[in-house]
Formats: sequence, structure tokens, C-alpha cells
Amino acid sequence: MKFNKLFLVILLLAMIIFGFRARVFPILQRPSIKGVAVQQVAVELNKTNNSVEFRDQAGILIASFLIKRLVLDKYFPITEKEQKWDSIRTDFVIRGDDSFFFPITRSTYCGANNCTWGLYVYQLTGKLDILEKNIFGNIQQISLSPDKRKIAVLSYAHGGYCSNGSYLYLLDRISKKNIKINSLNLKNYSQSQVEDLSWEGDTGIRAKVLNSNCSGQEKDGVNREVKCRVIFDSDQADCKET
Amino acid sequence: MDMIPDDGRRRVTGKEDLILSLDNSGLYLIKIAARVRDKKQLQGTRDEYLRIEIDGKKFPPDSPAVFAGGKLKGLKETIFFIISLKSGKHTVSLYADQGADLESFKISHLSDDSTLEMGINERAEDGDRRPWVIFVLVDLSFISVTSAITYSRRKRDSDDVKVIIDGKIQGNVFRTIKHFLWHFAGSLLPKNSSKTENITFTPNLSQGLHFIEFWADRMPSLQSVSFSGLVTAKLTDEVRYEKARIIWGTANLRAQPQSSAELIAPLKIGDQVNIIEKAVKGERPVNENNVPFLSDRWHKIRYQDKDGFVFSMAVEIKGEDVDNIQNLIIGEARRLMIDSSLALGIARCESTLFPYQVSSAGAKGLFQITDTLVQDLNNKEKPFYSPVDNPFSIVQNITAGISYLKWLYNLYQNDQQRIEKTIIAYNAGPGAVPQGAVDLSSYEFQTKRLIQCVLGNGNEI
Repeated sequence: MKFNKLFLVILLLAMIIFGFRARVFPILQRPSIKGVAVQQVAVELNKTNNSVEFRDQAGILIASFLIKRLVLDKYFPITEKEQKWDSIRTDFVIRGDDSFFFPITRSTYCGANNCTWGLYVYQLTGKLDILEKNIFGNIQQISLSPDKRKIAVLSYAHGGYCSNGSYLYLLDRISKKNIKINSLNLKNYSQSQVEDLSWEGDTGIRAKVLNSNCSGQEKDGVNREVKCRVIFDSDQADCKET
Repeated sequence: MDMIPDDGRRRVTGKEDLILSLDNSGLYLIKIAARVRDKKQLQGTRDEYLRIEIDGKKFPPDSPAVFAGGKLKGLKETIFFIISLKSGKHTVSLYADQGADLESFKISHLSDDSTLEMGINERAEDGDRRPWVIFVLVDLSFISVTSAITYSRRKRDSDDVKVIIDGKIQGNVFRTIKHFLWHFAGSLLPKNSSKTENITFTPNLSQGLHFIEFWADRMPSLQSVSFSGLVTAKLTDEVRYEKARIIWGTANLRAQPQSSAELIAPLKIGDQVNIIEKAVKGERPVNENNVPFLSDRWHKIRYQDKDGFVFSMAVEIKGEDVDNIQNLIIGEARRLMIDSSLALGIARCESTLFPYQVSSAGAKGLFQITDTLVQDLNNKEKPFYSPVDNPFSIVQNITAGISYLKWLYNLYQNDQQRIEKTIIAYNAGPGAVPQGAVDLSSYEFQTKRLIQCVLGNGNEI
């Protein structure tokens, strides 16, 4: 009995020393990130290995999965037979504690000006999910709430000369509820530009917006600060100017 | 870098003008490959000839810059013209007497280095002694030329290569009398062997028109050619740089491409400036009403011997005025066989024909192309392939925008809402276009706005 106990203690020590801990207790190895600080990470489509790869600043592979797994539904139909991943686009990723958030689109869903993106989340456990399928425009920013449960995605849509709109998509990871906020665009102004976007608590979001018409027109540009309280349960966002 | 893709094989009869629109001034390599036949092959009384003119510059009719059927007898010859060209429009004229078969037409922008190295990889077609590869240096001086040639000993008749510089045969006196005019003689090699040899000639020629001829007997290969000590005609600022004028009432020449940078000199409407570099990324300025301008691009310019940056909207570069751009779009639409009013409508609604426009969403140039589309435009497997390495290049942006538009237009060929669907797809991608009728209310404001603008012929601008 004494021998068995001693053996178990030695085995445990050996596991810790020789690094078995990572496999036996993976949870202890997870990186912890304070607040909503975002790690510098890149997402790449490795068309040789047919995989989606996440790499850190030094280029070291953090996680990967097969590209064909992106075919979660018929929204981005890619047949495995095609094996042509050239049409897939992604250029943006942020990392949460245990997941990567990244938008994906295909050539078919892009015109000369805008794309329609799907926002995916890949968890380090290997689970892949799609959070929103209809993000229109050109994605400028993705930001996590302090509790990392909600995600704000800012997109600019282009509609020709002197015409662009800012759209804010707020997504709840748990309830999967999505709210789209159009109120960054003002009627009678053809352009909007978000100059600062931040979370205030876990249900509030603040944006500094410049609304304007074309250069040279008599109406001045207007600087606004918009604050939205997001009530996911009722699919509502109450936005006010401050 | 290839500026104009190979124009493809075709029969040329009479006079044909090839128009080049160059974005940058500098040294260019114009490659023309053709074959012409002699009167025997034609069963006629005259040989075929193909004569070239560049911007009206003629080359002597008996010079190596002319394709002569009597010498070629239907075999292919390649002539490389090395010439300094300013940015803007240029015309290469082909004059075919009796006709000629054009095999290839290409133009590449060369570096400004004094050493010019070119991979040629031209293998001669099997045939008797005739001109094979010719270099025509226009208003250039050079010290030496080095070539790498592969030649073989063959049964009965072997590969031979003769080199002639400005009419002077570069013989090899150490070879037999039979071969001393042919610098590379395959019959002197061991049986069934090949050899690749580098040879340098140092004629040290002063500035002028020079011809370097490679004649072939049978099938040698010219691997590469390099020129050293190459000097282009001394270009003054007047010749080297594109001209532009200030079109704003006042503007500022700044040390950096940003409004707060050190002021170098004030500029006023009508001031003439030289363009050193176009479309440098900088700050997006705002006007006095705090409205951001439609570009973040500045031009590096020279004004009265002072170099600095001026905001792109304050300048009009010669040849980039609205009328000229409009003509280029109409010409390209006709060439690609698409409704020119649709192409022009898209460009007007996208950019008001200002080539340096950058939207806050990142769309660039005349057709407001995003980086995402540029990836596809550079993909050779795409049906609308049209390489873009500079979206602010007027030529590249127009060709790419119209190529993409044409592809979309063809997708909805038999559709009653063909125009609307093409515009929706141009703005949001073909994935956003339904199979059936279009419900405009389901689209974002920006998509609807582009449709209204184009269908209204851009009247709202």
C-alpha cells in the first residue's frame, strides 16, 4: 500500500516535470487574457494542407482545423470535391480566452465594393460555430465585451461616390441573438465614419461618429457620440446621442 | 513587370496602330515577334515586309529593325526595342507590306539601373541562316553586351550563331576560315553534344540608335542578354516628369503627406508642377466644415526646385482630365464589347472620374475596387482575370473594372432586370442577386443608391 502511494506521488511528479500536465490537465495550460485585451494573431488559409491556421505574432501555429469544416450550412456552399479554396477570403481575427473570432466570405458574396461576411468562432476545444451570416460591407473592427460573451462588429458599406454607411452588429455568443444597429447613419447625411468604438460594461457600447455630406457642400460635418444600451433578450438596442 | 499582356497572334495587313497608355516614365522593352514570307512562298512578285514606328519615329527601311520576308522566308524573328518613354499615350505602328503574321507583342517597364539583365529564352525555329533576335537601342549608350547561348552539333548541319553590332560582324578569328564569321559554331563541338556559352562584346558605343543582331543557323537558343553601362539620354525634369497644374484656388506643398506637416511653399491655381510620384498614402484631410475629403492620396511633386507633397484633389495631371478618362473608359468598353454607357455610368457614380478616390470603406480608384476583389482580379483562373498591382493606375483600374462588370453583365444575359442585377452584383456580389425578381427594399441603402445613380446616368452627382 505504502509502495503504491509512493509510486503515485512519483508518477505525478514525473508527469509535471516531463510535461504530461498539459495533456492530462489542459485547462491549467490555457492562456489567460485580462479584460478584453486582444492578442496579436493572424488567420491564414493553408491551401496545401487545406487548413485554417491561427498563428501568433512570431508565426507560431496556435491552432488549426480543416477548411472543409467551414461548410456549416448552405450559406457558404463549398463542396469538398471542389478543393478550391481560392474563393474564400478572411483577413481579420481576434482572440478571446478560449476562442478565435473571424469573418469569412467567398468571391461570390463580394462585389467590387462590398462583401457579405459570416462571423465564425473557433474554440480551442475544436468546436466551430457561425455567429452571424449577414454582415454587409467591409469589416473595420471586431471588439469583445468585458465579459467576452458579446461581440461588436463594425462594418462600412460603400455605395459609390460620397456614400458610405456604418453598420454595427452586436452578437451574443450564448443566446446567439444578434442585433444590427443602423443609427450610426443619419438621414440627410450620405457618409458616416466611426472614429472610436468601445464597450461600456457588458451591455453598453459607445461610438464617436462623424456624419457628413460630400466635401464642398454647404452642410457642415457633424460629430456625434452615440451610446447604445443593448438588451439582447428582447433583441433591442436603445441608442441615444450623448 | 509586364504592363501590356501579349496581344496574341494575328495577321496584320496594311497599317495597324497599337496604343499604349503608360503610367510611369522610364525605360521600356517592346517585344515584337513576327514572321514574313518571301515572294517564292507567296508565289508572287514581292516579299512581305513588316516595318515598325514608335511615336512616329521611323527606322531605316534596310535596317535590322524591319522584318524582311526575303531573309526570313516565313521563319519567326523577334525584335526587342529598348526605348525611354514618358508616361501617357504612345503609339506603336505596324506597317505590313503584303501582310505579316504577328506572333507576339509585349511591353515591359525596365529598371533604371545601368546594368540591364533580361531572360530571353528564345529558341530559333529550324531553318537556314537568317536574322533571329534583334535588339534596337533607341537614343542609348552602352559599354558592353553579354549573351548566353546554347548551341548543338547536329547531323549534317549544326547550330551556328552570328553576332552583328551596328553592322559589324563580331567574328571569331581563332576558328576555321569556314566559321570565323559565326561566333558560335556547333560543328566545332564534339559529336552529338551541346554547349551553353557566355560571351561579352565591349563596343563601348555612345548615345544613339544601335542594333545588336543575333543570326541563327538551325536551332540555337538565346538564354539571356545583359547590357552594362547603359545610359539613357539625359532626361531633364521637363522630359522626365509628368506635368500637372494646381486646380484649387490655393494649396500647400508640404514636407509629408499630411495637412499638419511643415509648409514648404504655398501654391495657387494654375501653378505648373512636375509629378515625381503619384498616389502616396497619407492623411485624409478635412475641409473647413470638418468634412473629410474623398481621398487619402497625395502626389510627390517638384515645384520651382522644391520637392514635397500636395493633396491629390488639388492637382490635375496632364492627360488625367475628365474628358480623357471618359474617352479611355468608352474605348475600353468598346474593346471589351460591353455597353459603354453602363461602364461610364458605374465609373461616374463610383468616383466622379477622379482616379485617386479612396472611400472610407477602402474602395480605390475610378471603379472603386476593394482589395478583396483585387485578389480575384489577379487570379488567372477567374473569367474576369485582369491583373492589378496598382489600383490607382488609370489603365489597370479601367480594364479591371470593366472586365469584372462585363463578367457580371454576361451572368444575367437573358434577364429582364439585367442592368439592375448587374449593378447589385457589382456593389454586393452575385451572391446577393436573386434568381427571380429583385426586391430593392431588401438591400442596404448603399446598394440602392448605386442603382439609382447609374440608372439616372449619374445625374445626382
